Amino acid sequence: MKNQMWRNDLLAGMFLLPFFLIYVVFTIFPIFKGLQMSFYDWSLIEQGAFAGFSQYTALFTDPGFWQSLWNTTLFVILSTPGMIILALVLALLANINAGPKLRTFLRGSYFIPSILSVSVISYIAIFMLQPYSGIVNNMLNTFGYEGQVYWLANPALAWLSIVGVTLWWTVGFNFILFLTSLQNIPDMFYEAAEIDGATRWQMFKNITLPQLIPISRVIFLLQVLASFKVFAQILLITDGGPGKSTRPLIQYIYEMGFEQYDLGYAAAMSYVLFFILLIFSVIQIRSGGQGRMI
Amino acid sequence: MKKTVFAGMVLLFTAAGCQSQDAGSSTETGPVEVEMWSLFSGGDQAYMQSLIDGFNESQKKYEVVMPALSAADDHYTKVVTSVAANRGPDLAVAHASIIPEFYNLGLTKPIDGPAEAAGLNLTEVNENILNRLTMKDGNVHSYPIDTHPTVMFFNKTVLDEAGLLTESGEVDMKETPEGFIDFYKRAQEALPDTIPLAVPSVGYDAFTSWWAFYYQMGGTDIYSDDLQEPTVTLDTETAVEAAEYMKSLFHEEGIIPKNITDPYEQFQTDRALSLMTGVWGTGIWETDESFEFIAQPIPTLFEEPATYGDSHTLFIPEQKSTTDEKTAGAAAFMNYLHENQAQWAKAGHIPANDEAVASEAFQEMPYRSDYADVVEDVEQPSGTIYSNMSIDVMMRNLDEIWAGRVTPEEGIRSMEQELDELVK
Repeated sequence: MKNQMWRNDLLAGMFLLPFFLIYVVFTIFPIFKGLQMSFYDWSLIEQGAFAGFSQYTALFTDPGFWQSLWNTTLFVILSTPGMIILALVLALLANINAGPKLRTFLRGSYFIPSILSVSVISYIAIFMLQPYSGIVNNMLNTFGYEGQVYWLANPALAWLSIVGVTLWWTVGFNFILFLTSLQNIPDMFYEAAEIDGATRWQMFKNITLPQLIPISRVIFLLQVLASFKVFAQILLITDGGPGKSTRPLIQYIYEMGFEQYDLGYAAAMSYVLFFILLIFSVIQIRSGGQGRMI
Repeated sequence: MKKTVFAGMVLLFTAAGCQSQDAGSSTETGPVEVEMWSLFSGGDQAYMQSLIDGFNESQKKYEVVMPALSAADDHYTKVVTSVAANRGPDLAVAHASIIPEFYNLGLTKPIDGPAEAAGLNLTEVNENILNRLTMKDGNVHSYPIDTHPTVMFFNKTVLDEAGLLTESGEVDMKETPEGFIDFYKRAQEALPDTIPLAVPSVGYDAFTSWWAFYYQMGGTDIYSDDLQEPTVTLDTETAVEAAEYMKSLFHEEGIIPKNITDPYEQFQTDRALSLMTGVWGTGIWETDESFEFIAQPIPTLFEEPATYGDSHTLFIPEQKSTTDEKTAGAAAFMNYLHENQAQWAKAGHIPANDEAVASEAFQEMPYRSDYADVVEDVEQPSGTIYSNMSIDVMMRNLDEIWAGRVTPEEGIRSMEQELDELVK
């Protein structure tokens, strides 16, 4: 019996080992290596002198760091509400009893953009938003607007474009989470309400919304974390421009590390971002009360 | 028991799959493989491939292979990291402006010895360019294949339509700041729907145009010529003045429409009269036989002729995997390029081999001879480890000026500050 258990453990261990090795090499090890790097002058190819906290103190007086951190925060502020509200609205629409065919179509069309890669959606966006020949400007012209809108050349419009594209691209994931949660609300709640003579709005307000609160917290946290990590679509659509007005923190980290070969400083900035996210997550989990996160 | 054995096998296979594979090693009998990474795109890439094919056919000892290209943006990052990990190419294309940076990182091998062994006479290379590639240790660290200055292109059909050609078929422009603007005003009057000068308001072309005007006004080098610790020696006043002139073309004068995205296409489809860009334009547009254009140096609007330019070069990375044999192969290919630089000039570039420039093969090519002399007036970024990085800084700050979000003074001041920070 004991022998059998030992063998089971071994078997489980062997199945876990390949993933565990990859996890250690590509996730755990870089985390600690990054921390070490942040305390050294470290070029792209070699380790330099010990720098102590000097990289961290340098951050505070670096306008590039503050500007890109603000840009990232701005993206979080601009994208998160839309990402949650739109996902909820779409999920409610897809949950309406409107015949199986329409339902499948709606669910599919909301989710399909999420499976496209970031380079594909970015190039579609650039193509559509081009002045003179892009479809967006051509449509505006058809509807009577004269002249050209320079979507990616004006900071405010560039943000609008980036947030809009991201919304279209990733809202499907939140939508699926909301939809699953909607389907998990027991029918008996609605049946009981119907017997009591509740209107549809009352049912929505007093049953649906409260039942969605736990998942909303999860979505909110995941969304904020995801938005803080914004990088690829901005790099590809505006390259941080016009000027530096849309350059997010991760792009600045990338530029410092891989274009200016200052990996130590880049690592220090990565850790600052990590701590911001950590603090945010702890506050969020604490405020949610025990056991309500999952 | 069977399950345990099966799991063990899965594990073994996984481990085997993780093992590294030595890519690109030569076989015992075949030619020695020399792997080259390039940053070329479009026409350049095709011309380089035909030269590689020619080299491979000309001898049996070496075979140069050029894997699928990477975007120019991350080419350098890839080269640096892979060479540091001893997994880099045996030969890599790099701009002359980045060679000091690579030399400083210890990534480049001196080529004097291998070149001599391969019969390549480096004294035939244009002296100015060779000096830029000769590093502190007194050795040449990269082999230049060309110079690619920024020049001006005019669409001949549109010029003719606007009545801006002289009787002898030349561009009817007076080379003064006012004459330049006046020329485009006449173009606008004659053809209001045509773009007079197609330069995107962000990026490379506008930056190189500013650079040309800055040096034409007598501007000094951006950095002092110190490899590791240069100081910023930008002539602020002239820089602002050049930026003001360039900005006026976008704004007050309205000669360059804002935010155009595809100047090459607009030029080729007769929607734009002219543009300023690298000489590779020649290689692109001359393949369209029905398309007529004029290529000429950027007009000297101010005191002295000057333009922006850089050179494509090939360097041999300093790493264990580049054996003596591969180094010799790389040098043999350099020698082949040296002898056939006129063929590379088909891409539009001006050969770095002075003899190739003088050769009949080059002189007989259309367009190139119209701008080959520009080489003498090219102002390249100074030879410091920051040259390449500083181009990004300059472009970004200048873009802000062209967009009208900052004044030329503010933009140049911020640019100077950032350049200063970069070298600290």
